[in-house]
Amino acid sequence: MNEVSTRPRNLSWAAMVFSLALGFIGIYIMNSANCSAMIPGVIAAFASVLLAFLAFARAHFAQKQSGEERAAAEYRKTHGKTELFDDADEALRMATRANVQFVKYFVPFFTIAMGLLSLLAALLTWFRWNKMEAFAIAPKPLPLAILAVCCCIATLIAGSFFVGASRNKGCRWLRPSGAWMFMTGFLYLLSGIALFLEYFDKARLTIDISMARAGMVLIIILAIELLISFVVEFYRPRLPGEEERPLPESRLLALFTEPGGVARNVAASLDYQFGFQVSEAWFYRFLERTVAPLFLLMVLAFWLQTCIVVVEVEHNGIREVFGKVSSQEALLPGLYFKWPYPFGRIFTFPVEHVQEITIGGHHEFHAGKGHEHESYDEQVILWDIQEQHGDESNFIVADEPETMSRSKLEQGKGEQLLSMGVISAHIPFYFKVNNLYDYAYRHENALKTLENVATRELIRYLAGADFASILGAKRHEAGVVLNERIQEAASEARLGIEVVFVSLAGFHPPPGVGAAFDNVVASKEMQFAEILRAKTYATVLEPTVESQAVVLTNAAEAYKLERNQVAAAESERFLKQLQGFQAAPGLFALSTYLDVFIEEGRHARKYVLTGDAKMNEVLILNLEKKLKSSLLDLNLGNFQQ
Amino acid sequence: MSEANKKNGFTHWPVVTLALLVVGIFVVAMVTFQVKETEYAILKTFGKPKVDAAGKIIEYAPGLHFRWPFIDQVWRHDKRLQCYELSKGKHEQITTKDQYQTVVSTFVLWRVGDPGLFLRRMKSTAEAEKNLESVVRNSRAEVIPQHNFSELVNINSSESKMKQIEDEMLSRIKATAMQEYGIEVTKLGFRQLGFPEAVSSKVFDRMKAERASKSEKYLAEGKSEAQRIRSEADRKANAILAEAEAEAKRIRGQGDEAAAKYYAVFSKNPELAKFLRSLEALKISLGANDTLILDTETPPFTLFKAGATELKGAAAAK
Repeated sequence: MNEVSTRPRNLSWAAMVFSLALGFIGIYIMNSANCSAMIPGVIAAFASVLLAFLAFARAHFAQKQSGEERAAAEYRKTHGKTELFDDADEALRMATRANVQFVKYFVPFFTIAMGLLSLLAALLTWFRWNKMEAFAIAPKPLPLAILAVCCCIATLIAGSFFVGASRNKGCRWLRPSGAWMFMTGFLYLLSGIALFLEYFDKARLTIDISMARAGMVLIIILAIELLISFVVEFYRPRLPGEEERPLPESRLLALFTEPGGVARNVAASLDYQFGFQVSEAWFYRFLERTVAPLFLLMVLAFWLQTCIVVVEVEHNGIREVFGKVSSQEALLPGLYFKWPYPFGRIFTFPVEHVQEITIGGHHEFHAGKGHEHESYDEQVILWDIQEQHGDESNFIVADEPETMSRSKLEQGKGEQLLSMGVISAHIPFYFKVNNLYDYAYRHENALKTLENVATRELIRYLAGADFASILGAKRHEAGVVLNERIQEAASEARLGIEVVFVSLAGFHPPPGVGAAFDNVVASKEMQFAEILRAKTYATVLEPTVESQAVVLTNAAEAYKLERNQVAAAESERFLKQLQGFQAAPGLFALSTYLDVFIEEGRHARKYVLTGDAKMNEVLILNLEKKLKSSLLDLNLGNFQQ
Repeated sequence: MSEANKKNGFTHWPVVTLALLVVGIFVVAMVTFQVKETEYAILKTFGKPKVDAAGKIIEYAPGLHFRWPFIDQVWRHDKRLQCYELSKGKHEQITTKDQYQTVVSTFVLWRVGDPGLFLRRMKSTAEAEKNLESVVRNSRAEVIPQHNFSELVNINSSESKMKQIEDEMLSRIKATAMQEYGIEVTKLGFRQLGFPEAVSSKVFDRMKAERASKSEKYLAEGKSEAQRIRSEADRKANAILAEAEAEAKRIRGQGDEAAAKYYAVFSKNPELAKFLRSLEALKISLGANDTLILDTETPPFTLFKAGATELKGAAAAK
């Protein structure tokens, strides 16, 4: 076959169409089965499409070049060789130049673009997976699993065909596409296995994403290899007459797709990269001979390593041989030997590690408005703030009848005494394992059982406890009782645990009711405040009144003294006045009178009615009060003087 | 065997060993089966469970056992206690004997009690739990309405019968589950006891009302006590003032009494005494802004009268 043949082009077309169809089937399976594991397979299928396109382009240019060369040879044959013709021939060999430039410029660009594109797609998908909380399960995985496996088989056959065909002349560039088909087939197989396992309900929630991540790691490795190939191609020595190897061809995939075994493929790759026969070196031949036994030895050593188990300080262990427990007595920390996997195992568990279970819902802090920047530790936990209590459970709790005399009301109606309230609780309790066999081998899910048993004990305890007491003084006692009851119930159920501590810090009235409890305390404070105000009044009033009493008595004393002394003085004075009066009765009286008049009446306004006024006349007197002195009354003349 | 073949055989010994090992493991895996400590295992030959001489289904103990490849199939089930919280009707409303509406949910601990019967009647754990769920719900709905709510919740713990109620439900479940499904139920317990939403809100309201009542009581008690303290203080103050007033009056009386002794001197000329007291009173009562309307008969304004300046003594002197 010569390069003028259209076979390489046709095969490239076929590879392209096959890979494209494979990619679309992969997308269908991916969407229908919610199969994340198919994503790497689809990426590989489209990578195969691109490489088939590259092979097609290369075949096209090679065919053109070949045609051009054949035409030139015929022209030479018919026209003979001249210098002028040779120059013209070189100038006109456009197809040859196009082919060279394609290999020199486009192929490296294509390689790096494909590497970057694959890496980007893989990383973006990886990050998207990391952000996802859960992966959907396939609704009907079986038919799609069968389809994936069928695709895998078809792809492996097609890959074998295209890799085999690439050994024909002019078809070398088909090999990368064929190798990526192998890769696609392998990834489709992974998807098929994941779907089968989902169907058989094995690791249903995790198998798909595990396979997907494994496949994506392979894609990332191959993408990085493409980028490295681009770089090392610059440093590869070119030898005349060597077989041209397509730049995007994966050496890693070649280990599995090329005949001759891994060692020979490694040797061929090294020979090609370094430009001399590395595989002929002594050291390489030695490695080739010893690598397989060494590898086997390593595997054996690794397997035998499973015979040794170290039970750590805080752990205990249980020995099993062929699934049967040798002794229910736990193995204490130390070094132990056992049958190799899978014949024997020592199950270890950190028995000393204190574990926590929360009864009454998961306590999760939701920051409320205005608290976005505060952590849970910085918050004041209040009964009435719903956001601080997460999804706590409410429990019915008995209650001592209080203010409402509810019991009396109900008794009056012939009903039974009943008083209860509701309490919210999240009660973390801490335990450790004290019997590993009971904990691990008697219960399918010891934690779940323990949580239920503890919840039951809490319900029973609260149903007979007093609401006010467990919120107040008897909280410690409640903790002790609950501790005992949970321990008793756990021992009865043979859970193999020891309750370390029951924390009742999370008991509180339900949110919405808590404010009423706050109000009671507030009222108590208001009561005290009112009483204190009254006491203050009393305290202030007493000395005030006492001082008033003193004032009164003192005033009386003063009055008494005044009366006594004034009366004495008056009598004495009267005797003197009597003497004066007796001496000149009329004159004494007048004089005394006028003295008073002068002294006290001089400022009084006076109207004197003279004797000329007739008694039958009406006199109008203006008795308005005299205006108060003001600036207008000032005698400025006098002031000036 | 030629030397070349011998050499080739020796050269490929790792591959041959590996192949033999793989084949060996495969064969052993085909003819044996392992029963774990946590499992029940029954061998089915063409779908029929293997039985012993007495016709009882053979349960294989933990360890390694032989089986015929492709003929015998191993049926396994977890023999550990499984904790099942009812999914359907997880929180189910039930009326008690005294017509209290309660919301109850329960859990059960179960395991396969009769593997033969379980194998015949149940396909999977999920199916077993589904059947168990119906039995538990039925027993719950039968037992709880026979009891008063006070038998579930009561501050007098001697009257609380929650454990008896659980035992009653368990005894009903046990029999049915074992006889019909081969399931052994070992424990049943309440995992939720509450009220429907509408009742819960009313219970909350009642709790709030109780607290409000207590608050008001405290406030009223405070006011009452304050009033008592104030009135007591007022009483004491009045008493002190009254005593002081009385004492003051007594003292004033003493003053008056002492003054009265001196007043006897005024009886020597009562007219003069009256006159002088009147003058004292006038002196005190006259103020700067008072207005006096006087006539000329009032001294010293008698001087305004005609001829007032003509004194008798002067005329005589002329």
